[in-house]
Amino acid sequence: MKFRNTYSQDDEIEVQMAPMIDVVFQLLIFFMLSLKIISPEGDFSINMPLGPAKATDNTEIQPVKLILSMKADSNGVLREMRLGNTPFPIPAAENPTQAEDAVFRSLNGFIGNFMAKQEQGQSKDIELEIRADYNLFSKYTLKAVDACSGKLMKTESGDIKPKYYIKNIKFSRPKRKKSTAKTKSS
Amino acid sequence: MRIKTNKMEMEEVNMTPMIDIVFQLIAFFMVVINFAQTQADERVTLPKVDLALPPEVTRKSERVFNIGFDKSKTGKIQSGPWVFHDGKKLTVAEMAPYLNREARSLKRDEKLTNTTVVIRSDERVPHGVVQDFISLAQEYEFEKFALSGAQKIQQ
Repeated sequence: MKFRNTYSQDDEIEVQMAPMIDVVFQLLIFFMLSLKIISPEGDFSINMPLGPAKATDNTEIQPVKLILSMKADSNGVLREMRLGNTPFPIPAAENPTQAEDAVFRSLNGFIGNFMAKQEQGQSKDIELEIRADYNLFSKYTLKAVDACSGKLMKTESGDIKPKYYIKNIKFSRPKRKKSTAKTKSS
Repeated sequence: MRIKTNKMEMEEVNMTPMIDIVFQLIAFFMVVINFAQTQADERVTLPKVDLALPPEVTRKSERVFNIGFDKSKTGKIQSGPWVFHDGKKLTVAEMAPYLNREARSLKRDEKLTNTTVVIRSDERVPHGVVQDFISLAQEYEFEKFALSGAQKIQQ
């Protein structure tokens, strides 16, 4: 082993850059691998009342109750949708996604007009109850909640903010439950 | 002008700027990375909805549950619907003991009434299954529920 004979303070110690780069590359690869790309998502709060409805006081302002019924075909695809007495037929379109988007847009428009009329008159609380078939795909009920919850509007400053329509949305137990459960056992 | 000689001279690459660039990249990844696991199971394809926005006020207490299917690589549904919990695939009924335990520990900390049960359910999960899960959670005194959707990319 050859030792340095003298170390004087004038001598500079050269820092080897190559190993530092190796370490830094290791760190970089660690961060690149642990990066997870998550698509943005949000959620809708729903009311799920526990027991039977409490007897309401007659003196209280009765909220407006709307019932949205959604029926499924045997595959779980939305077949029919009706708000109160107003039907929302699913239009024929090139692909089913377009048809579904169209029907929920029309529901959204209808609710928007309904809310506008409510604001003109005496504004009351609005309760929406969604009655959907057991085997209906949950994407349809979620899209219904989305259509009835509000709409994204462009404000004066150019931002896109949601305008809320109905906040009180609940699901009700379907009247006829399918006797054969849809869960596929392994 | 000095005419280049035939002999090729090897230039030494200066490593210092390369380290600077790599430090920049590391800093970028450190900022972008999110170490907190968001409990979003990738197997669940959420429906795309316009109004899917994160809650205006961050919830103090929430529990996330993922309901989805076993899908093949092509996306074909093989089995389900399952609640993906703790690395296992359970039916809604089998979730009862977990919900019970969770509810009891939240009740002890007096957080149960303020806890939101967030349900991330795949598009094709039957609505009734989601409702069954909600009813089961209600049996254990969970009161607040939320359904998740993916944000639609605004055009």
